[in-house]
Amino acid sequence: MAGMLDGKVAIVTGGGSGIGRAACLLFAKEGASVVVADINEPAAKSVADEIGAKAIAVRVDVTDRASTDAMAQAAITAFGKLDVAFNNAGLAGRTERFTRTGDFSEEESDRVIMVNQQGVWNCMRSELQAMMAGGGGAIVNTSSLAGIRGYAGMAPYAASKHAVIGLTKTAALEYAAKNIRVNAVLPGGVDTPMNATMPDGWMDVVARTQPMKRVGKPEEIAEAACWLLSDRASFVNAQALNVDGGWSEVLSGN
Amino acid sequence: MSSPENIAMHKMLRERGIPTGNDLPEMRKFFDSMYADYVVPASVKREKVNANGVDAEWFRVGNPTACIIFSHGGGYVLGSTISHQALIGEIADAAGVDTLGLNYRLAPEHAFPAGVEDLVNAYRFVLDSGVPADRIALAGDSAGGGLTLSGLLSIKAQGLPSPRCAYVISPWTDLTTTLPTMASQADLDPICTLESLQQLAGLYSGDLKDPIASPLHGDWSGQPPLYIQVGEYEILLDDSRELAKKAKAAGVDVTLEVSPMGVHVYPQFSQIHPEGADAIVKAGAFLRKHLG
Repeated sequence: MAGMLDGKVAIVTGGGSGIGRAACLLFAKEGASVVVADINEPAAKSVADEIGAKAIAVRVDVTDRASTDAMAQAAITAFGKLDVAFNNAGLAGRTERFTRTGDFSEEESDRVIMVNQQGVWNCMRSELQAMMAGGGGAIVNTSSLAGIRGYAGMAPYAASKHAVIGLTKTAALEYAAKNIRVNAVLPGGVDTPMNATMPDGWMDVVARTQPMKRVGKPEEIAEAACWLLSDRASFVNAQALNVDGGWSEVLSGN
Repeated sequence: MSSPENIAMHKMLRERGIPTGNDLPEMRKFFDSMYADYVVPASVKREKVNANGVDAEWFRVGNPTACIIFSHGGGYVLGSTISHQALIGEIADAAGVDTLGLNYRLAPEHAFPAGVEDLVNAYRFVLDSGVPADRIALAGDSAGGGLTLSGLLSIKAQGLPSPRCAYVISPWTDLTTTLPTMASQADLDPICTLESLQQLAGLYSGDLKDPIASPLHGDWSGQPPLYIQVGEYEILLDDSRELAKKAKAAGVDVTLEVSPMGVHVYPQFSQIHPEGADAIVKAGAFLRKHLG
């Protein structure tokens, strides 16, 4: 059976760990050539090495437009084009102490907004150009359940993840006629290095409160991104897809 | 979503557990030590007092013109003004009102209605000291919240003037333990279990449906404003929701606050999660509004 991404060239940001790493491995298995992009270059290299000849590692700082341009160019240089991109690099930005919206310093909030929001925008700026040149493509951006809900103590994260959905839906409208689809995935509680930065016990309790009584695996988010990027999702556009085991439905406020 | 601090706190509570067994002195000692890490506000001055025969303790903040009478939780069997010192102190501080913490008599040595009698006797003590009824609030958590509500019913039944208002946290209002959240929230509640509640109810009262012992079954007409705080993740959630429904239907001014992913008596953990700190601030505002 043919792979879902046969013959496609993919970029994955945050590809060195967590959901990004799982996506790189899956996309390659599904037939794509993969640009493993991460600010942590050794981590990117390790994932690219694991995949082999159909992957390259690129160091990217998503807050820097020149760096995201270089990333898109690297795809074209190495594999001749860019078809799909999974803009997944992000950070939680939780402070050591509980911090309310009015108490976040600009420095603390700017860093999260720059990576999670402006980073996705920079990636799209660079990728959309390359995809238009190639006649089309597909993009998936990583938002979060905090992209549709407030998250007490995590104002920059929630703000940036809401923004990712705004950017996703707007770009989707603007580029639909150019044969580029743009969607977002909203992971729930997932066992990733980022979530390991949450307070002790967070993961255990999230698992207990899930409808499925477990947290997600990075591979399960990667599967959703893979489908959205593939031609099998050819009429799916401007969507924010929860991949959370149903958690959003049982969180109070529904 | 609730704060990561609240979510993470559940695990700590689950691992700590609650006092169980038959060694009452040991269980009471453990219960008194459970909240020892939490600090009583520096503004609070404590003073032991015999309140009309009831062992009690003042948590004074320099405003004796009004009074909050606080009944602690602990399933009618455990607890004291030691176990609840930080919570009582924080409420006194937030409300800006001298607060009388009761060491009401505990079951099984003193079963229902001993605790209710003690609360009403302490209420008479405060009235006799010159604080009028409309400057008194009753407050309590868990079983102490149930006791507070029992006290309101008992005060009215005895023809005494009702206090100005009542503030209850996760009150235990139905000793029959048959409401739906006993099952639906069982996996989510890191503190209370149906078995422990049933054991405690049996020690406290021979008649679980007595309308004073189980104030959910009482007549709520003519009662003063109620402020109820309860956690979403507790098996006692319906004890609050049903009480609020019933009191509202009887014409009582009821404010019910359900804290998302909140645990049993979540304001007691105000010093380790922001939702708890917010709850104390809101309780202070409610009490100031009525007593201020």
